[in-house]
Formats: sequence, structure tokens, C-alpha cells
Amino acid sequence: MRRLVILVLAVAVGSFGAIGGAQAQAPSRGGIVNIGVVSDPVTLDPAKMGSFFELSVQYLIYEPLLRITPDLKIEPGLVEKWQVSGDKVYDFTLRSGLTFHDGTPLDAAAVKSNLDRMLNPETGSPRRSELGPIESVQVRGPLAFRIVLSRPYAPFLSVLTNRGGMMVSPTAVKNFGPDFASKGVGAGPFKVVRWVKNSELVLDRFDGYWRKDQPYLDHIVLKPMSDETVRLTNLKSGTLQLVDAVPPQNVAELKKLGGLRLYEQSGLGFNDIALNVSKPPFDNGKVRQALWYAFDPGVIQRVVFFDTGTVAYGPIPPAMRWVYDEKFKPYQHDAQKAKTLLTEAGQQGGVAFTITVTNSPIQVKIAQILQAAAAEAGFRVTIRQIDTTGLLAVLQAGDFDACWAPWSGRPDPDGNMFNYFTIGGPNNFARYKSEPVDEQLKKARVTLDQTERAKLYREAQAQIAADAAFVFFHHDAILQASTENLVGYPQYPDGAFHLEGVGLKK
Amino acid sequence: MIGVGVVGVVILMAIFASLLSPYDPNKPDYAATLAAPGRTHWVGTDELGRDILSRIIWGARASLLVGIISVGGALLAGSLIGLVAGYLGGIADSVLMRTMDVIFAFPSILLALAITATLGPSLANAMIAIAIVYVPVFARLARGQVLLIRELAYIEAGRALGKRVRAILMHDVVPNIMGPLVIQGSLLFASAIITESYLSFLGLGIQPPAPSWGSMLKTAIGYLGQAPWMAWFPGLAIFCAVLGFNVLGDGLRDILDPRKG
Repeated sequence: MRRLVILVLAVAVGSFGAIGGAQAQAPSRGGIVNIGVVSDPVTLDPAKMGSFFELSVQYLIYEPLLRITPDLKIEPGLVEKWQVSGDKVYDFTLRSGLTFHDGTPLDAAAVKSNLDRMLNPETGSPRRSELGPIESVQVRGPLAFRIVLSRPYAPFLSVLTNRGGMMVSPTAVKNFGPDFASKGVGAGPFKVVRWVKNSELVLDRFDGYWRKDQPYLDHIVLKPMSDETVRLTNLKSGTLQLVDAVPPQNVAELKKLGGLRLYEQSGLGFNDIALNVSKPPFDNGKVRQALWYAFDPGVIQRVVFFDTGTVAYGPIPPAMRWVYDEKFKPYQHDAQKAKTLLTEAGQQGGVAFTITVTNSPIQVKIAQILQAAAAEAGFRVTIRQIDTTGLLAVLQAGDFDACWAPWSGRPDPDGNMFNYFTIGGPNNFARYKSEPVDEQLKKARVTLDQTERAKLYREAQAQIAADAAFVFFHHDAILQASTENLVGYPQYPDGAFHLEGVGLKK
Repeated sequence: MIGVGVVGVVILMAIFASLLSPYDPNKPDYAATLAAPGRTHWVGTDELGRDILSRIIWGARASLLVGIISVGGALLAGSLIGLVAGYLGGIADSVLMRTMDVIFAFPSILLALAITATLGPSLANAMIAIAIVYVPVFARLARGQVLLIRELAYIEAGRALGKRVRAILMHDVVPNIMGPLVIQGSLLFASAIITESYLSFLGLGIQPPAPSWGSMLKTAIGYLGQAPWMAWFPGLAIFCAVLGFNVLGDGLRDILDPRKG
């Protein structure tokens, strides 16, 4: 009896120490975080998401089948374990006891319902091409499901860590119909409470989240502010605790300012302009190349980005170390060559076009630099500013001559290139058609040998630059900032917010 | 007199911009961005290295142009409407003035914003928007003046002599209501400059890279920490121009309308 009491006391004292230790490391529970984001999301339905604006909310509301770490390693998410047989058969087992925000069980049947919906041509989902050559999705038990591919597909697992793997409640989809786009019912750490468009999106903690002790925060409020200077001012004043896309000119100042934290890392995406090749003046390749020769990307790197990030000549950023080629510099600033190209294209009188950008100060600045540089070569540029939420519609409708078309980036080069440069790809806003590039990108997907893939992606990149349907100029660094009392923030190289492990220091 | 002086400076800046401005206002100089006021650039450079002094001088053109065209247009249109409404009375009066009331009911800022947003952002559309917003002001004023003198003896005499309405209006009525209209015009000129400033501030007026005091102010906010002079000088320009026109308007009122003094 005495030994039992001593044992119990020992365990009690031991566990006290353990609890104390754990509390010293984990953030305290509770609190609200107000976040300044670039724009309202266009939709809350991951099957339909097509712009970078949703990156701020997608991982808050939705949990993907597999998770990705900030250094791009794949780990279990909703799926507890998986097994690959050969190179086409993937067996997954979900964790038990998972539910969506509305209580619907998250089981293998729900997963199949999700994947079927994304793959259904009638849904019109960009996920369809991202998920690749799926032949069948089979339910093999309450928590077990098997996905069979018709061909090997190298990016498959990494796609499941992003929108293609985000599960939505089938009940909610059925009940809300098209209205689901403003409701957003998933299984992520936070659930949607209220969305006042262009004003605020309010999220509450989801108590049924699979990580039992997370999330720490009670509420999150996302406030769209398209002007980066306004976002930063609100952070400094304490109205916001976290902001996305800090203006590069403030980076030096923020490093010295007390009370704030700056997060900076090399990004996965690219900053570029899409040129509409389906109509004049950019239906002519020489005119497109002339534009690229006309400006100096080094100027943009210095004057706009204050030496954060790097100059870009294609869609592959330095962060993709196994594919990136730092010697790839297909264009140099050469106003004379630009003029010659315009003459060769029969446009020696000069070319007039409109460049469309959002009304964010950085974009307007870049547009003015391009305007001044292009003028030296004989271009007459008009700048058109539109609202951020209208950008995707303009790009998809082709209602532009030249338009800003940024991409936040994916861990796999396929994620940066397939949708943008294949013929008819969902992000191919320039309406670019190249058979060789199309073939290279399709081949690189089904090849599993990394060296071979790197070669294909570099060849495709070279051809894309030569065709100049997209004029690349920068790989942005991810620049975000928070108040000092925000702890545990893991910055991702695509800038997406993952906030289940974040809390406020009291 | 101060009013005349300040307004005179603004007008001179606008007319002789190409002679007075030391640099091309739109020419970037990437080696000299965000330079503080100094010997080469007396007022400093902006985020693209453009000379701020030159941009302020050329910006005077945008402000003056907006003032002249929008206020002038509103004065002509509004006075005509008020004149007709006041003199004819009856149904014409009701219809015209109720229309003016509808426009007048909207807060001027919102109305200008809504019109420019609908027509598309450009200096021309900003001027149209501001003109529309000010028409009711002149219409009411003109109508009021007309009602005052309509029954006066010399008008009655004209009618008795069989003068045509148009002749009465042009020769007898108009010259006697000009005073208050001109005063109102110069006061609204100041207001028009401010309206243009905030329309460009919101990206709805003059388009980049053309300089306008309002859009310069908007860009300057992003650099308050690094280059505060980018905001001081356009702000000062707006302040002085608006004050100048206001003082001028007051002075004109003293001269032209001693009753109301």
C-alpha cells in the first residue's frame, strides 16, 4: 500500500514538472489576432480557388490530407499514414474521430466525395489538372482509401498538401450549393463565423481540430487592406497584430524598430506581366521581346524591392535549389535592341498599349518604371489601375494588353509551370501556345527521376523566356511582420498563414 | 491682396511650367531616389528619382485646369438653369430645381467619387464629376438672384415695352447677378482644388505618371519614414493655393457686393 502511495506521489510530482515544462514552451491559450491581408479572398471553396489572395485563409479554415513543413517536407495531416505501391497506387489511412466544422464525420467516403467533386469536369475546378492523372478513388474501409493513377505523377503528394488535398464538408456543399463559396466549412483549426466582404472575415477556434491542444487563439479577424502602407501603419499602431506583404522600403526601418518582428525569406513564386498574345500588339513575338529588352530588371530590384528577393527571368525561383539555374539570364537591358526589334516587327512608329495593375503602390511604381523604360524604345504606355478582387476576372477574361499576373509559388516546379504554360492551362492568362513547352511540362510530370525533370523544366523555362508571352522580373522575398507578443509564427516560402501553433504572449 | 498674390503665383506656375521647372517632371533618376532637399534638387526627389519641385510646378496645371473647367462649366450650366427657373417660374422652375435638389442631396465627396468611378479614372472625368457636383450651387444662387430682381422696376418696364424674354434676361438680369456668382466661383475654385486632390489621392483623377498634388501626397504616405519632404511640399502647395483662392473670394465679395459685407 505504501509503495503504491509513493508511486502515485512520484508520478504526480513528475507530471507536475512535465506540465510546467510544457507550459514554458507553448504559447498561452486565448486571444484575438487581427491580420492585415492584401485582399479579400475571391472564394472560400478550395475547389475553386485560383489566386494568391486565398493563401491567407486556406490553411486556417481547411486541413489538407497531407501537411507540408516550412522547409517543404511532407508529413501526415488528416491522413495518419500512407503507402505507395509501385509508382501508381497510393493507400491512405485517415486519423479516427475526425469531423468537419459542422459535425459531419470526416471519413474515407467524405474524402472520395471531395476528390470526385474536384475531378468532375462540371465543377470546373483548377484542381483537376493539379491532381493529375487520377484513374480512380476507392473507399476501402471507414478510414482507408486508395488512389490509383493512370501514369506516374511526381508532384502528386505535394499537391495533396495544398488546395488539392483540402477537404470540405459534403453536407455543407449539398446544403449551400453555390453559396458554399462564402461559407467555407472545412476541418481546419478555425471555422468561419462571419464574412463581411471587403471589411472583415472572422474566424473562431474549432474545438474539434485533430491536434487536441491546438489552436491556441480564440479568434482571428482578417482585414483586407490593399494599400501596403496602410497595413503597416495599422501594425505600428497596434490595430493589427500580423500583416502580410510588408513594403520593401520599410524593411530596413522595421529591423531597427522595437516592438515588432520582421519575417523574411526567399519566396517560391514569381512576379511577372502577362502579355495577351491573342490580339495586337502582343500577338507579335518581336514586340513582346522588345518590351523585355526595353527595361532593366536591376532597377526594379533596387528601386522597388530595395534589394530584397532576386531578379527573375523565368518561373523557377532560387528556393527550388535542384532546378534553379543562376546562370540563366536570357535578356539584358538594351533599348537599342528593343527599337530594332520593333522595326523588324513593322512597328517603327511605336506601339501603344495599356498595362493593367492593381491599385497597390508597389504595382503602380513598377508600372511607372516600365512605362518610362518602354518609352525609350518607342512604346507608349497607359497605366490602368483596378481593384485587387477584379484582377483574376480581368486575367481570365483576357480583358488586357499587358497585366500583372503574379504567382505565389508551389514546392514543386510543376506547381509553378503546368497551369501557367501548358496550352489552355487554367492560369495561362497570356493565352500562350507552345507545343514543345506543353510536351516538356507533361513529360516532366510523369518522370520520377529528378535529374531528368530538372533538365526538362530548364528547357521549358528557356523556351518560355524566348517566346516572351510572360515577362518575368522578380522573385519576391516573403516579407511579413507581427507585433512582438505574437509567438510561434512559422513563415512559409509561399507566404501562406499556418496559425494553429501561434499564440499571444501575455 | 494676399489672395491676388498667391493666386497669381499659382497661375504663373501653371502657365509657365515648362520655363520655370528645373527638370522634366516625369523623368526618373534611379540613382537619386528619395534624395533630401539639396543643391541639385531644391525640394528633393521622389521614389523614382523625379524632381519634386518640377512636379509641384507642373501639378499647378492640373489643379488650375480642374478649377477653371469644372467651376467654369458648373457656373455656366448652373447659372443658365437657375436663370431659366427663376425667371419663368411655374412648372419649369419646379422641374429644374427638384432635379438640382436631387443632386444637392448627395454628399459632394460621395457623388464625385461615384461619378468618376463609373466614368473611369482620368483627369477629364474628374472634371466632369466636380462640375456636376457644383451645378446645383450655382443654379440655386442664380435663381435666388433672379427672384430678387425679377419684380424690380426696370424689369417690369422692359416687359411693358415688349422686350423679348431672352433680351430681358441677357441685358437686364444677367449683369446684375454676376457679382455673387463670381464670388461663389472663386470660393468653389478652392474647393475644386481640394476635390481634385482627393480624387487623385484615391487613384480616380489624374493618372500616373502625370503629377498632381493629390497623387503626390498619396505616394508620399508610403515614405513618411524615409522621405517626409515628399509629403510636406505638395501639402503646402495645396494649402497655399486653397487659402489664396479663399482669400481672393472674400476680397472680391468686399468689392463687388458691399451689401453682404
